[in-house]
Amino acid sequence: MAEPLLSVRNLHKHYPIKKNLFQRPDILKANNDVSFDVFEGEILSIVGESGCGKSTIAKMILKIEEQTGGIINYKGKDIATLSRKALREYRKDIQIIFQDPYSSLNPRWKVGSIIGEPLLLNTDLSRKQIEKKVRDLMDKVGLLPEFYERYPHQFSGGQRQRIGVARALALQPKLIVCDEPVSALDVSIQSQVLNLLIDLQSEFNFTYIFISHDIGVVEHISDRVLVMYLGRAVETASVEQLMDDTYHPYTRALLAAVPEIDPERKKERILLQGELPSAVKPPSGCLFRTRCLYAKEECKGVSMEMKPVNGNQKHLCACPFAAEFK
Amino acid sequence: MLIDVKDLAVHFRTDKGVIKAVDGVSFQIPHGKTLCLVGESGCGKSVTSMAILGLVDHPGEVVGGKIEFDGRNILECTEKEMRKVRGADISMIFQDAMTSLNPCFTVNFQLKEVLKLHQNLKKNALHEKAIEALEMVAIPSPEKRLKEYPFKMSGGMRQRVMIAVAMACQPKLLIADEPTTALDVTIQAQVLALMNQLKEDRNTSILFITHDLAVVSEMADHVAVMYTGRIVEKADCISLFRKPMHPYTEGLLRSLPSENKGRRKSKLHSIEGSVPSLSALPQGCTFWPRCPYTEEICKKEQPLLKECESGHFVACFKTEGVI
Repeated sequence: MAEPLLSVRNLHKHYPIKKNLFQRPDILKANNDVSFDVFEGEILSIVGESGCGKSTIAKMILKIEEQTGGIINYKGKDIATLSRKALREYRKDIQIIFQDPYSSLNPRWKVGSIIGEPLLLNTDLSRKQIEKKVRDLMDKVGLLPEFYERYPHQFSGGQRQRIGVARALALQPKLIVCDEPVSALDVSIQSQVLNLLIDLQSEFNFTYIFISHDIGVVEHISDRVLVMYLGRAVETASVEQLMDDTYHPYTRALLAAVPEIDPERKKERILLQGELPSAVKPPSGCLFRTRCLYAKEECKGVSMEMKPVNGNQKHLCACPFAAEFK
Repeated sequence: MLIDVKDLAVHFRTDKGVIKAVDGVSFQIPHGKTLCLVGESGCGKSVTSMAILGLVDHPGEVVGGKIEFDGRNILECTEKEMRKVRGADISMIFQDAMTSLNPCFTVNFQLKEVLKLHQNLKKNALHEKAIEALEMVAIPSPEKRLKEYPFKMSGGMRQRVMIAVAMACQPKLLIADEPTTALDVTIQAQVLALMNQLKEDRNTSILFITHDLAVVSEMADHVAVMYTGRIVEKADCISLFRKPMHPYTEGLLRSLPSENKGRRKSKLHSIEGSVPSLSALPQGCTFWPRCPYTEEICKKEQPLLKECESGHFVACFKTEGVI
C-alpha cells in the first residue's frame, strides 16, 4: 500500500479546566486516542456532533494547537520535531478553509491583498508577479477581475467563501483542511462551492480533510469517512462501506437522524435519547453507552479500540458487540 | 382557517430607497396543520413572521394587506391588544435559543413570566404549570432545571426551554423561525419529533420557517417557497416535492447532494449567480437572471401566482404556458 500523506497515531488533546487556583484542574479530553491515515489525492471526511473534537484535530494538524500526546506524521516526518525552517515549508503545504466566510476575512483589507498575503509572506515574488498570480487564482475560483479592489463586505457569503478558497490555493498546498466550508451558506450557493472544491481537486490532485456534520454533503464528496464521538473515533470506512454496511450503533443513529427528502415515506427513526455527555466527566467504558440502544452491562468495561470489521482492515469499528445486534 | 394572510406587504424605508422585504404574500394555515416557508436568507421569511406578531420595527412598516387570525384582522389591533395575543394565541420559537433567552434570569422566571402575563394563576398553580411545561418538552428532572440559568444548558436543552415557554399558554399558532438550524442532527431529530407530537396532541398550527428542504419534507403539510419577498410556489408537501413547478424550486431540489445519490463526486446541479439585493431587483420576474428558461417576457413582466393544478400555485410564465 502507498505511504500515507498524513498519518495520525494515538492523538490526544486534553485541556485543563481550572476551577480555582488551589484545586487540581479537571481534564477535558477533546481528543482521545485518535488514529487515521490520509492518502494523497483522497478526500477524508470527519463527521460527528458538535463537541466531538473534529475541529480540534484540524487545529493540531495545522499546528495551531499542540497535541498532548500522539504523533502526526507528514510524509513520514513527525511534525512536532520539525525545525523552524521545515515547519515553514510544512505550513505552505497545509492550508485551511474556514467555516465562517464573514469572520475569516479581514474587513479592512481588499480582496487582492487577502488572497496575496500568503504569497507575500512565503515567496519572493515581486508585487507585479503577485498581482498576476492573484488574478489567476481569482479566475480559477470564479471571481470577476474587477473584484480585485473590493472589500469583503461588498460580497455575498458564497463569493466570500470563494475568496477563502483562493487564499488557501495561493501556495499550491498538498493538503487542504476544510472546516465546515459550506454550512454557513445558502442551499443554492452550497452546491456551487462544493462543485468548485471537487473541480479543483480533480485539477490539482489535492488531498482534503473535510470536516462536516452534513451527512448528505459528506456522502457526496468523500472517499473515506471517520466518525467521531466525544473525542474518540468510533468507525472509519470507505463511504460506500459506511453507508451500506453501517456497523457502529452511533453511526447508524447518526445516519438515521438525517432528514430525508421524501414526504411520502416518513422514516422510522432511531431517535437517540439524551444528549452528548460532558467531555469532562465521560462515562466509563464505551463513551456511547449512555445513549446506545443496545447498551448492556459489559459496555461499562469495554475499551474503544478500533478493530477491523469482518477482517477488513479498511473498515474499523470501536464497538465490540456491533456484529451481534446488526 | 386559523390564519389567513392576504397580500401582506412590508417595506423598509432606507437611504437607498424603499426596500420591499415582503411584497404581496398570501397564505392560509388551517387548524392543526403546518405550513413551511422556505427560502434563502433575505427572501423575507422572517419579516413575514415578525409582521404576524406585529413586531416589525422602524424603519420597517406594514404597508398593505390583511392578517386575519381567528376571524379578526390583527393588523388593526392596538399595541395593547397585540400584547394579549402575543405569547397567548400566537407565540414564537427563535433560531438561537442562547440569545433569545435572557441570561440574567432563571428558567423559572422566564417560564412563569409568560404564564403570569396571560393567565391569572395562584402561586402553586403557577409552579405546577411551569413544571408541566418542562415535562411536556421532555426535560429530565424539571424541578432542578427550573432553578437553572440558560447558560448551564446545552443547545438542545435550551431550545426545549424555548419551546416550553412558547407552548406554556397553549397557543393556537406557533411560529418557529429556523428552530433547529443551530442544532446537531441527532438533537434536531429530537426537537422535530417533539414539535410534531405537540402539534398532534394540542391541535396547534405551526408556521415553520426554514431553508432546509429536508426538514420541510419531514414537517410540512403545506409548503410556500419564497424568493425576494414573494411567494413563487405554493402547494401541499407531497406534490411540491413530487413535481416542483417553479424553476427556482426545481433548482433548489436538484442542487441537494442527496438528490445525486449513486453519482458521487459528480457535478452537482447549481443555480447560477446569487440572490439579487432587494435594493436592486431586476425588472420583470426577479428570478430571470438565474433562470435556465428565461424568455423576453420574463424580463419585462412579473408573473403572478396562479393555480396550475388543483392546490398547486406557481408564479412563472413557463408553467403558465405563456412561453
